[in-house]
Amino acid sequence: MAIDREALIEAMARSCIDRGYAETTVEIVASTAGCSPSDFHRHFESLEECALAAVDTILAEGMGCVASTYGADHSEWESALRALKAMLELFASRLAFASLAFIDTRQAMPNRAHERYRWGFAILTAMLDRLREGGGNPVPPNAARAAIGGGEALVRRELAAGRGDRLPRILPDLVYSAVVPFLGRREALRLAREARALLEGRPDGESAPSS
Amino acid sequence: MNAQQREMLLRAMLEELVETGYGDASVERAREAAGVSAAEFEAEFAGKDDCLFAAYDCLTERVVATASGDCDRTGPWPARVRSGLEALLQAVAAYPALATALTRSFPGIRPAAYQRYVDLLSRFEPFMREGREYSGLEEELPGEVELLAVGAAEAIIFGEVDAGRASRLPQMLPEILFSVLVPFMGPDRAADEMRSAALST
Repeated sequence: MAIDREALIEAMARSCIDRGYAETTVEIVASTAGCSPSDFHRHFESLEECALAAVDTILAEGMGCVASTYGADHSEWESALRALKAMLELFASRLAFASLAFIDTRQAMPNRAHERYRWGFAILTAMLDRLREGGGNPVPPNAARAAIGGGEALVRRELAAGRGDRLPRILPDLVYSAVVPFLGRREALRLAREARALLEGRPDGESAPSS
Repeated sequence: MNAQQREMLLRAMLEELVETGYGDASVERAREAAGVSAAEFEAEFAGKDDCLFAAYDCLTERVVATASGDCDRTGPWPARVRSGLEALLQAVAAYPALATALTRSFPGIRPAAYQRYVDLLSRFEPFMREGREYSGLEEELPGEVELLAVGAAEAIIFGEVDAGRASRLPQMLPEILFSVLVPFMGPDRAADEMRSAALST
């Protein structure tokens, strides 16, 4: 029987959300995917290789989300808001992968997968740092890193609590966290309201400022 | 085992976890380091996991007590947050191995262990709740603003501990303070507090 590589990657992510990476084994992944350990090894040299493939899957999908939301007809802040919404929707629809990306790569996985987490975090931080240029407030060097971290803590808590399917609902809070160090409370609250309008499909959200 | 041995055992268990990873963490080595016999260990703990979870719970109690001891003093809310944060950063810098156990080694064991870490972060939220009143915006602020502030500090602490730079956390107090206060006070007032902390750091 031909064993689907994608099925093994899915099984890997599934096992991480159920029992964590540290207690996941080749046998568990193979059995979940409906194959034997030797079938597993036709596709992956090790458990870590399979985990890396799973992490890369969600990273690539996340980057795809971001790329598809940027366009010349939106301001940078508006594009960022739409990118964030698209990413939350992606994570809500790919819960095991989201858990893998936010929790296992950060806290449980060995170095190469952990580096992927650092890259993902660094990319989001760099995106926010780029937007800060439109703010003009004097903020410390790690402000973007901390702002992303605040939102990430909320995402991780929702995932750990089994509420990952409701992740898009936290969009206004994430927008507030990302914006407030750079544009201040009033603008952050306005963009959070716009995020809420976007979620509810209302066209009356005020337009975001151009950066 | 007496209280001192118990404390040594719990600490040795967490150090084992950091040094060798969960699978290889040895109860025997931890027992030997603490001078605890197998019978004494078995009288108190059901096994390695039981001991590790007890060690983590003990550590998180200390962490919360360290931060809240200074946070609970009288004075304006931003000054109390600064005192609590300062005490926390100094403790993390003084015990880097325990900081690694706290933020990464233990939470990475399995989902139940990770939940302990989520619970730890939520225990700092009540200290932030006062910031909502202090902000003058109260209901207008996001529903999760307290966790956003806690998570901002955690991201920097986690990153520095993970990179082996826990020792420089105390000198990062001003900018971490900025990121904790900014969701409540906005960038101008948070920057004032940051500058004030920088003058005395």
